[in-house]
Amino acid sequence: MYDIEIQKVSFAYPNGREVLHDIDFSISAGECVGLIGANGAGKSTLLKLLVGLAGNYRGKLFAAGMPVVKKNVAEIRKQVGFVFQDSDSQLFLSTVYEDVAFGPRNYGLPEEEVEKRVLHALEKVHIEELKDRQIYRMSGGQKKLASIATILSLEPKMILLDEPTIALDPKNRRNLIQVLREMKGTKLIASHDLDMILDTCARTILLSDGRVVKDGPAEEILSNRTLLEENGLELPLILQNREERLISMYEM
Amino acid sequence: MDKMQRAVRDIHITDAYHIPKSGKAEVHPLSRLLVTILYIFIVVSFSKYEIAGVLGMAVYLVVMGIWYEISWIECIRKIWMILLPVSLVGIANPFFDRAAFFQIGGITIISGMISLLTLLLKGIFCVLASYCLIVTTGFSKICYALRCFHLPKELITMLLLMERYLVIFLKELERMLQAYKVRAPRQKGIHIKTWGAFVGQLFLRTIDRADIVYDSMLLRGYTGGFVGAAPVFSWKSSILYVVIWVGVLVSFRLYPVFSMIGKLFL
Repeated sequence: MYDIEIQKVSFAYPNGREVLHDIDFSISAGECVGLIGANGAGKSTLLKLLVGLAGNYRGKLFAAGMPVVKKNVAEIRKQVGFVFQDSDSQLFLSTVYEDVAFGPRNYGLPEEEVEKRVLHALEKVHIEELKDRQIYRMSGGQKKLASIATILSLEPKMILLDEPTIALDPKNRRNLIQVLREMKGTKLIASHDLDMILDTCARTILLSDGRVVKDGPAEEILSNRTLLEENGLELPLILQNREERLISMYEM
Repeated sequence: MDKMQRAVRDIHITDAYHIPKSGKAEVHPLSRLLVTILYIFIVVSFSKYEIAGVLGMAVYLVVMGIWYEISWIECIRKIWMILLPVSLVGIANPFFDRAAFFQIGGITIISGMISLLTLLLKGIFCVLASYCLIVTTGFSKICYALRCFHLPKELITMLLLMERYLVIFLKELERMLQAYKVRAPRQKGIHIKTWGAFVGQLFLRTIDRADIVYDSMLLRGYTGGFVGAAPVFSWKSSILYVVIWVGVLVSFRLYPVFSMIGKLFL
């Protein structure tokens, strides 16, 4: 059973610019998949399509076992969480508690259940102590974790993350990677941060100009310098360093 | 701190101010809203020469200020731009209404001065009472109270979204102003030639941001209804709050309480 199934999906913006061409892949339940590609490759658009935010597409698209069509969108959004690239866009209420509780309250859960879910979500991302913190007083790293908590409180079956490590300092980035590793369920992470993808995902899909160029084990794709460079990316830093060390050892 | 940053901070602080201090039972937002409406109605109902009666209404603001630890200095700093035009109402009265009202040590106080002062106090008290309501209740709870009043759902949703848009607008404005300032360090304000493009860009950017925020709301199950926890409150405190304030405010309106107290000592 697949959590995400994409068959020959193409998508064009209203101005006619086609950003996705014949995308074809599927993701099984519990898998963690990295979606990589240069700017404009179509990563964010693909994620938005999966939760019915982008608009009409051609082909067949299934999320949480349902076709992504208007009548299913509400149910899909209940089961598929989406973490935006910019945390400031995701967090719009005054305190962390209020924002994390926004989703469960929308689904009409009783207040005791809302509280339980909020506390559990905050615990999962290790920011329980920030429960009553004013959002405008939080750092970028804390905001990112809070925005993930806003999704976790909905207890989704799968989570889509758009550039989760962008603008995070090394410590917050490391912390976020730890949180992503601990998170259960299906994950699809779109990112340029190839080191993070290498750390968190077993499988990687490389997109270029709206097409799937390669789909396979993360280590295999992310260590292929030629493939990455041909598609506007570079080897992850950790592999670059390893390569440099090997070269210097060889030269000695 | 930048003006824009301060404005955004003020909105957030005002929204969080209402969190009840320990030991103070939470009053239902509808009780607060009703008392505020009654207060404004009573203040406005005084005639333009009933300055003593209007002055008596300060009791509400004083008690609320002490009870909820409201800093009136901070309040005036925030809302002076509203208070200023309010204070100007009736500015021409002393020129047209020149009948003698009373005398103090040989100085004649004319009716126009009294009516000016009364109007001034009325305006200021109404604005302060509204401020008091916002900081003690919070914007989302006021919307909840409006919903209890059976106001149209669309109107309440619009109010909530407008509050969110205001924050987005100010944040974008702050970003654009910072970007402008670093490239025009010697310039005061924005050059008139840039205004058109600046404002246009600001609106386009805020619309884009507002779209993303709205998407984020949709993704978390928002369907256009009112969202927010039903406030935790004590029925006893809420009823007591209304009964006490209605009693006090109506008494101050019907009887010249200050004059009566004064007569006791004379």
